[in-house]
Amino acid sequence: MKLLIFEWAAGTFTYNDIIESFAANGISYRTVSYQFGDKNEDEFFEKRFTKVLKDDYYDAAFSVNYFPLVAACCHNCNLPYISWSYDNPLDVPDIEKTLGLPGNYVFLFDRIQTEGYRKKGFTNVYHMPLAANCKRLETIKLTKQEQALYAADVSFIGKMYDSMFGQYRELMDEHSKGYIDAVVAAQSKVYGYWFAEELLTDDLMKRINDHFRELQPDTQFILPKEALAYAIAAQITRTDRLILLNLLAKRMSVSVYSWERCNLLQNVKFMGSCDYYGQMTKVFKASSINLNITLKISQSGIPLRVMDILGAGGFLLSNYQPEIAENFVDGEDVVMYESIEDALEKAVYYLGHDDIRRQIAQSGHNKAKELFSYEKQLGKIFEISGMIL
Amino acid sequence: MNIIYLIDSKKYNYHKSLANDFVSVTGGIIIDMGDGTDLGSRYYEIEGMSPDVIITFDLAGHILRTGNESLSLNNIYARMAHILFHKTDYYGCDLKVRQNLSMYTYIPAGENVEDARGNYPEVPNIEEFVAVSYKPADESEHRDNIEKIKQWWEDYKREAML
Repeated sequence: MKLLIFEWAAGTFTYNDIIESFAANGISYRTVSYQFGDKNEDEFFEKRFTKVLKDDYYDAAFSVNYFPLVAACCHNCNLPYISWSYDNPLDVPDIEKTLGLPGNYVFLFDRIQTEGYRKKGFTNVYHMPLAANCKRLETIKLTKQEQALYAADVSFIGKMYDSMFGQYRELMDEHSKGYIDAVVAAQSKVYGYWFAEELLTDDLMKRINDHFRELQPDTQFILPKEALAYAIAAQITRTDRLILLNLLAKRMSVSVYSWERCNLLQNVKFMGSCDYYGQMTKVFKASSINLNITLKISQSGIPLRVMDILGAGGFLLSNYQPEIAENFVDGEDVVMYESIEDALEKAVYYLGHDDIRRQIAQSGHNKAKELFSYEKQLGKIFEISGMIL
Repeated sequence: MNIIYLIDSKKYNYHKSLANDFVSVTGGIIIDMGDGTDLGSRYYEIEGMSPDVIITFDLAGHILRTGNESLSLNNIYARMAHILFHKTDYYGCDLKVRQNLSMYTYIPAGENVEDARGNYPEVPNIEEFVAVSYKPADESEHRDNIEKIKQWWEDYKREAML
């Protein structure tokens, strides 16, 4: 089998692990990359990418995450296009215009998100949990200096999310503000079920957008429901992360790895960014507790961060996610929390019980290795796409 | 059109004068990668300028890398042209890293383009560069250079759909 891999910009997290699996399975490939200015319209890209497609024979095109113009070019060349996403939401405006193209095989890690598309008639969208390259991660060892550098009671890798929520809210009338505040307050208390978007009714969105136009009659801006839902999710996630990290930092050492320093974090050791294929695994191995706080809009799936932590053999403390609960035993393979108070209590408990923590980390690692290898997941992807390995 | 030239005058003493010649034809500004500026800041400076076109000499921008050792320039939405004034084997590993589809790499006249395409599969667009002398001997050669640059620029704009 020969694939043309489309790689976004300077690279995606799972690319190296995927091509390692391709190589191990005798799949040959060529990779081309590109950065889009507009993911839906780029004549130059279409011309160049189509030329690449026609210059050689390929059985299919493949990409990490979904790209509408790749889908369109493959459709025009009558070539199957397989994508496997670790992003949620997919950050593709007007995705539904190309998603259903014949020849598209779209794999998403979040089952509820997948079901949402399938209910809309996109039967070429499939659920596929992400994977962990345990073999690679097991070979990464820490020097004494690295152990000292990355050691922490709790580590968290991720951003604090700069949400547009505040700006959107400022432009709403008092009734909409009150309603939205209530939605945020209710959603903040619930883990494992994202209902906020359902509460953003068409009437509410009309009221909000009408008020925008009252304030600025010349505005062309229309706030889509999806954008407001994302802003709410980002706002809640930001608040969750700030509160939990600050509370933990009062009781234990907490390291945060992120591109940007957040001044609202107190007593937290800011470590800057860390690269995916090197430092990140070392952080997971050296930290007593690795925290996962999922973006609220991700409703059921196991985020890549969780796979990375378990694959590295790190101890995971995560918010409740339905698919984590379906595949891992809480308290045996992983530990999940259902509120900020619960997270705090569990962090304190497991920090004081080294043996139990190590046992859980080992068990979680074994299960990730057994259930979610790249070979296994990609094998299923190719089988569903009609390309048996 | 917002055009940026990336040169390294510390490593190549002909870059500055040659870049001035190119700028006289195409317009644009010159950024010297060899001036000691921190590379992270340099990258954000270039990205922040939202260039339409980035033209580099002797792969001067390839020093900008991500944590994964990919080209940072791959992250920028712009057309790019990498003009090489030496034979491809001079650049070692820099031609082994993946360039994105918006990049055109121009190799010196006389070197076999087909061979280069075969040798550097991660470089998607390899073309021959008109025989511009990077160290013109006299004013006549300098004028000849300018004419060749003008011709190249017209060809490039057409190819890059600018």
